[in-house]
Parts: sequence; structure tokens; C-alpha cells
Amino acid sequence: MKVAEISLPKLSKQLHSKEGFRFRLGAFTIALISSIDKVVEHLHFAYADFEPLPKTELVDFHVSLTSPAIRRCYRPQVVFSFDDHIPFLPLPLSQASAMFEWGLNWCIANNAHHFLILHAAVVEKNGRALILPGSPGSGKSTLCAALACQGWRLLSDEMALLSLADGLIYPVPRPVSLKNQSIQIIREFAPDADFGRIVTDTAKGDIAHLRPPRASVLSQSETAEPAFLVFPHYRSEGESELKMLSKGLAFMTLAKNAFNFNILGREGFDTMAHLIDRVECFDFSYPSLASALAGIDGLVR
Amino acid sequence: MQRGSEAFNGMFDRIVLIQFLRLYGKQALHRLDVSNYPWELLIRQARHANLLSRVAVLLQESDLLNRLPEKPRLHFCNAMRLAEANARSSNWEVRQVYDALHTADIEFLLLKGAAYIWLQNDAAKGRLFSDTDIMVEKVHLELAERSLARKAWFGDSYDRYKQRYYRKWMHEIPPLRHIQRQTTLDVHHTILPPTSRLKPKPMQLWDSAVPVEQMPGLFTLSPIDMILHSATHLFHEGEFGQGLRDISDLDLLLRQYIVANDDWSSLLRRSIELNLERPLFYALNYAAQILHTPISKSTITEAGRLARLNPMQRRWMDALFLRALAPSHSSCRVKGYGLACWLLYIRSHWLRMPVHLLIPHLFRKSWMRLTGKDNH
Amino acid sequence: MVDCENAGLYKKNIQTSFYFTNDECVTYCGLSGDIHLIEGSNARFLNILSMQPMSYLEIVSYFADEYDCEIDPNLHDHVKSMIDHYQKLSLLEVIGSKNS
Repeated sequence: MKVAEISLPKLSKQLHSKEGFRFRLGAFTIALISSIDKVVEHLHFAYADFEPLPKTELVDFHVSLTSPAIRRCYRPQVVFSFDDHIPFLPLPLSQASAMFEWGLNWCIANNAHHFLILHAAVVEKNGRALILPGSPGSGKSTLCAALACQGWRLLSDEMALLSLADGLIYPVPRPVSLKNQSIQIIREFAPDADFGRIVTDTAKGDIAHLRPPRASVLSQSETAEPAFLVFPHYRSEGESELKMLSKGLAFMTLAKNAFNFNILGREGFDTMAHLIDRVECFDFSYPSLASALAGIDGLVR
Repeated sequence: MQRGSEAFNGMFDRIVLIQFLRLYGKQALHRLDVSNYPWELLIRQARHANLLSRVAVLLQESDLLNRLPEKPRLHFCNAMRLAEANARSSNWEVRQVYDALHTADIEFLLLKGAAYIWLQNDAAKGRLFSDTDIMVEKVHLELAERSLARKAWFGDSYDRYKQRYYRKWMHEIPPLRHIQRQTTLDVHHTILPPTSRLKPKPMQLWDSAVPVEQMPGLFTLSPIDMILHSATHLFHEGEFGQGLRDISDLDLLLRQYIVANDDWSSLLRRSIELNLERPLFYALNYAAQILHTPISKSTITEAGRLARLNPMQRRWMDALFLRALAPSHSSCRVKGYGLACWLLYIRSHWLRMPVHLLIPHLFRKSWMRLTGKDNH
Repeated sequence: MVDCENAGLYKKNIQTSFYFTNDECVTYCGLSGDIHLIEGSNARFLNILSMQPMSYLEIVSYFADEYDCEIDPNLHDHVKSMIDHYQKLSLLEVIGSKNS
């Protein structure tokens, strides 16, 4: 039974319970407790194709989103906690869904050290994965959303998980976070795309979550072999340009984009070397979404 | 009081994390039923108590790690990776500090986590910490601050109040931060703030300090002083979020350095010399009660006599410490934990600061926290 | 600067890993956890050093070949400076001494 098939009241009841609502997310298992309506709605919509977990399975991350009683009447807030530990300052209650996504990112980035965790989007087609590292102004999330809407399998919009054991990429196909103009760009590009409610006034502006394609969720246990590493740069003028990047420079730049490179030490270094060995590395500047997609298509053909 | 302790003992025995540590102490981890053990609960309690890496190392030491089901094994392995990264970073930091101070001919002592990791003693097992703590002689403090500044360690941009708090009232320099690595270095000249009611003399610590091999000018405290420092830090500094972790450190240090050669009289004698009888009594009493560290009743009684606590005080301290030192994860939190921590927090400040400074200081800390301006 | 000529043999530090790719080398220092990108002739030099230790004079000879130049005080200075820098980064270490 999928989340979409559970009625809202029933889902709400499970989220209120002591064990919370448990589901599998790629290589991880999550238990979520919350009595916040916005969270119930967000889960029901954005995680529609995910399945609840059998009670016997061990949970990796016990998380909760609560609204402190003392602030319920005046500027209500939402607090994210990971097993009794509160890593962030509270946010306005209206940002509960964004808080959930940031919180999950935090849990994975701070604990899942059997992976080299890159700040990057990953999509896959024909058995080959394309890694798009993110830096401010790269437009990685917009690109990732567009590729996912065009039939690429979504592995992640935020974190590429590279296994230390086998060097493959493990999916975490969560809702794609889009900000500000990207929301409108993707709405125009893919009018059928499923967006959740827009959350306004966050530290990053307006945020909306694009539901991950069903096929991507259904194959969340299937790993992918990395084939391309493309550093995107959005430039409002000029032509698209795909330039080969030296492996040494790609290594150094990607290491700066890795959440846990410093923690993994030599293991991280070896895993990164193994990755760079296997992928073609590029710098890619593009002036528009359409030209970006054409460029990427040309690359993988 | 005995009945109260028994009640606590029963309660501790039902807490998976404490059960595990007690079993390790008895060298009986091999008795664990690996397939049916509540691994998830152990992981959650340990993570919350900042002991996940330690538990992982103890499991590996007992050859159990590879026999665990996959998910718990991954969590423990990841926790060990964190500890290895911590150790690497700490040792590198120590080398950099040594470079800076050795050229200025300043001798310094490694304290706490940085010392355990450098020495690779038993308290280094899965130890996580963020700051590097060192001690220099008071007369070298200014030169040390300048030498470190030359290698890019600077006092954080604390507000004027915090600067005064450290320099004028606590007689210490504020924590230094390395501009590039963003690591924190605490430079002390004594192990308790000079305003404390207990006054261990730094020179006595220096006289017994142990030089580090191949690093002239670098020292660690003697094992007995290390134990006394750990006890003093826990029972007089008031940070109980890591209380069980600190008791675990004490348990491991006591087993390695004192139980092994049964030299309790040297430990007691030294506590008198340094005027640290009370923290030592608390350390022995609570390590024995919580983790069953093998300390004879007569030793604890003698330490109690030296500590000069009346029965009422002992009952009070039991009520507070046995609650505050228990793991505080929601699955095993003891009733009264929050209140006990708060009272001990006030007590630790009372021990550190004269009264006329204490109230305004506590008031200001609460204000900073309420308005979100406090980063700690 | 260190007395290179009497130092003995230079070899890759045991704590260091190298990743070679074409004309580049990414190094990892096990003590600090730091990585560095080294290019061109220096990368090729480290590649050779990772396979066999070299004495100071052998290193000078190597670079004289690489740069196709005479062995003169400038070259000595350049090599000494490079060795000093790489020792500080823990990429190289000295084993034994010339007299042992």
C-alpha cells in the first residue's frame, strides 16, 4: 500500500502516534512524528509513491516536527528534532515542509558515512548516471527537475551518495526543492508537473517541492554507475559551452563539494579517485534551460 | 540513602546503554545475543549520550562488530569513522600548536580529549570532542597568546561582556579560533578558574607532568592527575549533557591506571595534596554505582571521609548526580533529570564565581538564550 | 633551509597517497587530511619518487633533464625550495642518511 492510498486522517493518526509514520527512503528508513497539518499534507502529496515500512525493520532516523505550545498563539513555529537532538533554530510554522526536507538532508549528511556524500544532483538514463554538482548560481535543481520531467531517472536533487564499498550511486529520490524563478520556469517547461504548496518568506525566498516521478521512487533500490560529471554554470548571455575539465581540477573542485570528505579521510580520497577515474568531466555554461537540455542530450548520446 | 541507591541501581540496570557498558567492564560482551539484542535502542541512547563511537569501538574490540545485522553495523562503523576523523584532526592540531609554542620556548600540557587521543590511552576509545585544551604557566600566558596569534589563532569576536568574563573574572584568555581551520583552542593556566572555591596549585601539576616522547616541551598530566582533572571537570564544571560520557572516561581511566596496579592510596593521597578530595569522592562513588567500576567499599568510604560531606549533603548530591549522570534519551530519561541538571548548573557557577558576579551572569545567560543570541 | 645534500634518500611519506592522472597528481596527506593538486613536471617527479627513493643529487639531475637546462645554483635553489615545501606538506620524507 502506498502513502497516496492512505487517507489523510489515517496518515495523520499514524504521524501522531508514538512510533510515528515509518517509510523507506532509498538506503534509509525513517520514522516521522508530527502533529502539524502542513506536514501531513506534504507527506501525503510529495511522498505519495513511497511505502510504509514493516514494523520489524530497524529505523535509521527517528525525526519529529513539532510546534512549541508556548508559541502557538503568537508567530507559531516549527522545530525539527533528530532523536531528541535539535540541530536548527525554529522556523515559522508555514515553512514546516521545507524544514522537513532540510532536516532529512542534515540527518543523511551527518550520519551516512558509508557513502561519500556530494552536494550534487544525480539523474540516470540508459544505465549511466550524470552528476551535477551544485554551487550558488549553478541552477542544478532547475536542471535536475527538468531532466526528471523529461524521463531521466531521479536519484537525488541534493545529495549524490557514492558507496565506499562498491563505488556505485545509491538513490534518495526525494521531492525536488525549487526556489523563486525556478518554480515558474519548471511550471512552464512541464505544465503537468506536480508541485506542492509554495512556501514563502524562507531564508532562500519562495520554495516549492516537485513530487519525484513514480518510476524514480519505484526504482529507489537500484544503484547506478556514474558516467558523467558536469559542473553547470548558468550565464544569462552567450552560447552553451561544454568544456572538458582536467581530472585533477575536477577532483579538487568536487572534494570542496563533498559534505563529508574531511571525515572520510583516506577512504574518501580513494573513493573520489575511483569516481574521477570512471567519469568524463566537464564544465558546462548555459544561457537557458532549453539549451542546457540540448547540450546534455548531446553529451550522453 | 542505601535504599535510594538500590532503586537507582535497578533503574540503571534496565537502561540498555548502561547495561552494555557494565557488561564491557566485566569483559562479558561476548555473552550478547547478537541476533536479538535491542541494537536500535542502544544506538539511539548512545548517540544521544555522545557515546555512539565509544560503543562502536568496544564492539570492535570484542570482535562483535562483524557479527551484527547490517543496519546497526553500518551505524557503528560510521560512528567509528567520526572518531577516527576526530583523532586525526586533534593530533594535527596538537602538532600545529607545538610548532607555534615550541619556537617561543613555551612548555605546555595537553589536557582532556587531546591528551587521551595523543597517548592512545583507554579513554581515547571512540572519544569525540571539538576543542583542544592545553595548559601553560600563568607567566607565559601573554607570550603564548602572541605566539599563537602569529600562527593565525585569534580570540573569537566575543562581545565585551564575554571578553571581561574570561579575562577579568575567570582570569583566562577566551577560546582561540584558528582562522583557516576554524578549530578552537582553549589555553588554561590552571585546571579550575582561579575564582573557584577549590584551589589546586598548578605548579603541583607541572611537577608531576609526564613529558611526551620526541616532543620536548610537550607534556601530559600524570595518570593520577588526569583522573583527578577529569573528576574535577565533571563535578565542578556542570556540563551534564555529556555526564555519562565523562563517567565512562573516568571508568576507563580508573581501570587502566589504578585498578590495574591496585594503587588506590596514591590516588587518595594526591587528592589531598591538590585539595580535590570532594571531586574524587564523587568520581569513585558514581563510577562504582553507575558503571560498576571495581572499587572497594573501603576506598570509597575513605574518599568519603576525606571529602567531609555530611550525610544530608551526600543524600542531596546522590539525588542530583544520579539523575543528571543517567543517559537522558527519551527512552530512558529519569524523572527529575531536568531539574537536577539545572540545580547542578547553578551549583557549578556558584563554585566558580563569587556571588556578586553569579546572579548578573546567570541572568545575562538566560537573556541571551531566550533572544537566540547565544551560540552555545 | 634543510641541508638537502647530506640528508640521504627522499621517498614518498608513508602517510601520503597519490592519485595520478595524465599530467597531474592529487596528493592526500594522512596526518592533516589535506589534499593538494600538483601539475606538470612536479607531478611526474612525484610519480617516479612513489616508485623508488631518490637522493638529492638524483633529483637535481632529474629536473635538469626535465627542464633541459644546466645544473647551476638556480636549479639547486629551485629543487631545494620544492623539497622544503613538499616536506612541510608531508609529501616527502627522508630515509636513512648518506653515511649509513
